[in-house]
Amino acid sequence: MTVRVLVVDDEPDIRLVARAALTKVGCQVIVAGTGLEALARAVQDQPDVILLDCMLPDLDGFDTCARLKAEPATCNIPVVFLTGKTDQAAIERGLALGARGYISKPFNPLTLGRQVQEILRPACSAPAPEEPSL
Amino acid sequence: VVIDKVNGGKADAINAGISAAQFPLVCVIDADSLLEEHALVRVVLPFIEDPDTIAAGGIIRIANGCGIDHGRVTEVRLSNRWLVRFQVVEYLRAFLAGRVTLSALDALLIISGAFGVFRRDVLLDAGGFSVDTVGEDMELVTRLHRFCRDRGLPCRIAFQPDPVCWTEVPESARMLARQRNRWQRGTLQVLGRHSKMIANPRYGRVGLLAMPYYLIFEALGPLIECGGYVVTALGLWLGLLDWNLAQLLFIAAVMYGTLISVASVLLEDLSFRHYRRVADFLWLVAFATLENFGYRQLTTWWRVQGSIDFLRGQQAWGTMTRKGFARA
Repeated sequence: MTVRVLVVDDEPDIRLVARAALTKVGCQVIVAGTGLEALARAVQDQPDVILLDCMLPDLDGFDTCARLKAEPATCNIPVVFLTGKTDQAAIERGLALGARGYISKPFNPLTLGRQVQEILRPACSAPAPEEPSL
Repeated sequence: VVIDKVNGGKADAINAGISAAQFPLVCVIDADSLLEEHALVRVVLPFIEDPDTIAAGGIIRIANGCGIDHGRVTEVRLSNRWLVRFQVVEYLRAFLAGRVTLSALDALLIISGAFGVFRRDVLLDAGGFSVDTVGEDMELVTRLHRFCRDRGLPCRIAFQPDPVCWTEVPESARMLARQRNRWQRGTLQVLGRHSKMIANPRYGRVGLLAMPYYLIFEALGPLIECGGYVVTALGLWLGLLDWNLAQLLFIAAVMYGTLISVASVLLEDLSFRHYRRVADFLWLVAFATLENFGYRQLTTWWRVQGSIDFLRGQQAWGTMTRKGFARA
C-alpha cells in the first residue's frame, strides 16, 4: 500500500527535495506551505504521516501540531517534526504535543524515507534495510 | 574557504576546488554566470531520484539584455543586438532540443562548464578536469562515461531543463569567432583523445550514438557544409547544377533548420515562458529563420578555422573580453 505523506514547509526547496526523496521510495507526497494549509490538507487528504516544519509563516509547527491532535479527523495521524529547531526544549515540547519523532535539518534526502519508516515502526519490528548514500 | 593559488587555468582552479570540497557533491559555476533561485536544488534532484547519477547539468540562458540587480536576473529581456539574438536561438535549440534528447537517451556528452554538479568521489577517481584541453567540460563528461563503462560502474549523466544559469555571451563578431574556434578545437581534441569510444558497442549509446553524432555533425559538419557551398558555387559556374533541384534542396534544408529552431523557441514559450514580451517571442521566431542567411555560414566558417587551428596544434584559449552585468 502506498504511504501518503504530507510535507509541511514554507521553503519551496525543502518541499521539492522531500517530495523527490519520498517519491523515490514509493510514497505519495502532498505538500503544504503554511500551518493553516496543512490543517486543511490533513483533513481533506488524510495522509498516513505528516512531516512538519516548526517555523511556518502563520501558525508555527507547535500550534499546528496541537490543532492536528485536537481535531478528531486528524488526531490519529502521526506527526514527525522535520526542522532545524532541535534544541532539547523544542524536542520535548513537540513530543509533549503528541509528535512521534524529530528529523533534523539539514537532512539526507537519500535516507529520509528510512528515517520516517523507523520513527513510525512499532518498537518490536525488524530494522529497515540500508539505503545507498552518496 | 578561499584558495589563493598560482594561475594554472580554469581546469586547474576547479580541480583545486574539488580537492578542497568537503561534501559528496561539487557544483562548478563560471564566474561570469548567475544562478536563478532554486537552481541548485533543482539540479541535484537527479541524484536523489536515481543513485546511479554521477553528474547533472542545468540549462544555460543568455543574460545579455536582461535586467540584473544584486546578482539576480530581475527582468528577462531580449538583447537588441542581432548577434546576441542569434545566440539565444542557438542556445535554446542546443539545450531544449539537443541536450534534452541526448539526456533522455542516456547519451549526454556535455555538461556545460558554466553550470554542472558532479559526485566528488567519481571526479577524484577519474582524475578531475583535464588541464591540457580547451574543451574541458566535454572532455570530462566523455571521460566519465569511459571511466565508468571500463570499470562496470553505474553512470547516469543527466540534463535538467529547469535549473537556469544565466551567462553573458560575446556581443562582437571577433569574440564570438574566438569562442567558436575554441569550441571546435575542443570538440576535435575530445573526439581524438577518446576515439576508441567512437562506434564502440562497449560504450553503449554513448559509443554508438553520441560519439558518431558529434564526429559527423559537430566535428566534420562545418567542413562538409563549407565543401557543399564550394561545390555548389562551382557547379553553378560550370553549368553542371540542376537549378530546380538545388533550389528545392536549399528550401528543404532551410525549412528543416528553421523548424527545429522555431520548435525550440515554442517549447521555451510553452514550458518556461522566460520571455514574457510578445515582441521578444516574435523576434526569436524571426531570428530562428534569419540565422540561416549569414549567421550560420559565419559560425560554420569560424568552426572550419577552428579545425585548421586544431590541425596546426593551436592550444590557446584566446582572450575573452566580458562586458559584465549592468544593474537594472
